[in-house]
Amino acid sequence: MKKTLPFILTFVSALTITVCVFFDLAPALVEEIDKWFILSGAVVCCIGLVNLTTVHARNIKRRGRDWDLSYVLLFITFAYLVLGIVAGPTHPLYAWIFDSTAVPLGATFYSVLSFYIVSAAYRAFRAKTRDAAILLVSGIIVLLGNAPIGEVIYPGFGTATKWIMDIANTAAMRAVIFGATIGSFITAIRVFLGIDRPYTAAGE
Amino acid sequence: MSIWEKLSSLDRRYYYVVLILVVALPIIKPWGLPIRVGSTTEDFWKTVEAVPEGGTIALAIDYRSDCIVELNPQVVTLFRQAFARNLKIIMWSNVDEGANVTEPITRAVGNEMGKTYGVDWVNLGYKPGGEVTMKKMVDNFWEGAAYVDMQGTPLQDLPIMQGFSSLRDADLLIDMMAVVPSPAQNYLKMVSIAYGLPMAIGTTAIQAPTEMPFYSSGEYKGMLAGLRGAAEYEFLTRNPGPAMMGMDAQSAAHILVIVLIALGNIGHMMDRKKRAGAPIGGGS
Repeated sequence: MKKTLPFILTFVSALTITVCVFFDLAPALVEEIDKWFILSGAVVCCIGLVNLTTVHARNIKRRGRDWDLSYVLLFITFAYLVLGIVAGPTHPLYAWIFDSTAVPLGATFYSVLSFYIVSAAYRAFRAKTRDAAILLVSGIIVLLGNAPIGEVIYPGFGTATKWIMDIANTAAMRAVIFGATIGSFITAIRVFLGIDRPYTAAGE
Repeated sequence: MSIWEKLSSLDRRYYYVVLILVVALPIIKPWGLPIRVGSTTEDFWKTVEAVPEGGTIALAIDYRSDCIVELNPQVVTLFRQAFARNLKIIMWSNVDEGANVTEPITRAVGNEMGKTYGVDWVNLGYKPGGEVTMKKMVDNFWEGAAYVDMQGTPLQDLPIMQGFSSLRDADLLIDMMAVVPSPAQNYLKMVSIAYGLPMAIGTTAIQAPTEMPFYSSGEYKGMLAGLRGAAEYEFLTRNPGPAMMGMDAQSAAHILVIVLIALGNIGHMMDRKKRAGAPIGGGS
């Protein structure tokens, strides 16, 4: 039942959508399935919350690793959830908490990458082979072309960067996009036919 | 121990300190490097200029707080350009944090330029559902937006929403995005190509190469790429802001990275040369 029911649901809904959209049939039915899709997203969010609560409640109960942080996480999660539901997402307190914690923390995490890049620049970016040397030189040209100082040093860096981005990069990316599109199409057919079942526990 | 060996075994925190200094100095004392406007940014600007006065821009905000440094200046400058031409902006987010991230900055620009919320612009908040919601916004925009804006105000009470029943009613669709998979590519196939709605995007420097094929093929009418794109856009619209200020710091950081790559490679070559000259079996 755990394997068959999800497969039947997947097959029937996918077949209905495909046939109805392709032949422009039963728009009301398609609309209804679309609504179910959006609603199921909200349900998945609730399941995530239940799962998070269960995992951390168990950690607190067992005095597991960093159990005190589990208290903090659960408190923040539910306090902010209740505040959002009661006051709404534009309430000054709700917005203030978001603007003064999530926003700067998010930006900080992303900025930390620059430190790793600087450290890696000396230790890892080595032209050990001819291919690596071509990649490195292209990277340096794009780095210089993307910063105003590059064109101050040599005006040709801008033109070279544009060529790399417009020609070399676009050609490679188109190949990647074609490959990914065909791959995702095949994956969709495999899920549709029940050959791949990512919704089962082990993806069998 | 040679200087190269010393450098390679140097505590990485020294590199971090050097980076902080190199980035901070141009912010404290700007160099005023000239900014040349690229074709992607110029096309973005021209696309917004091509919207008839009083027209509507549909703006999807698809980035989170991690990318505010690159994308907030793009959004602010877009609002300035649009409001200067009396364009209306209907914005929403397909990403959970997007609407919250842009709410304060867009409201600040609106208030500064004497515009009224609900008349000149509206923030509809987070609209989950991905491609299904996009499709719904074409068929019935109000239903796709769940009939309320971010604050829970019914759409029927907002003058800007009167007569706007489908995404097809917009004059231009813009996606400011920095998430994977690309929502802009979904908007392209679900809305822009399907209904002939012009589309432009703003994205991070790291995602620009992925989106470039769609700009090169003419499907995106314009593209702002990263902080550089934002700086060019600020320069073009004569609205100097944080992106232009950040260009000197970005230049300094790029030069530092290049210098370190060069030093690392020189050290690597020296090391290889030394090993090649060493007697077989060691003997150091």
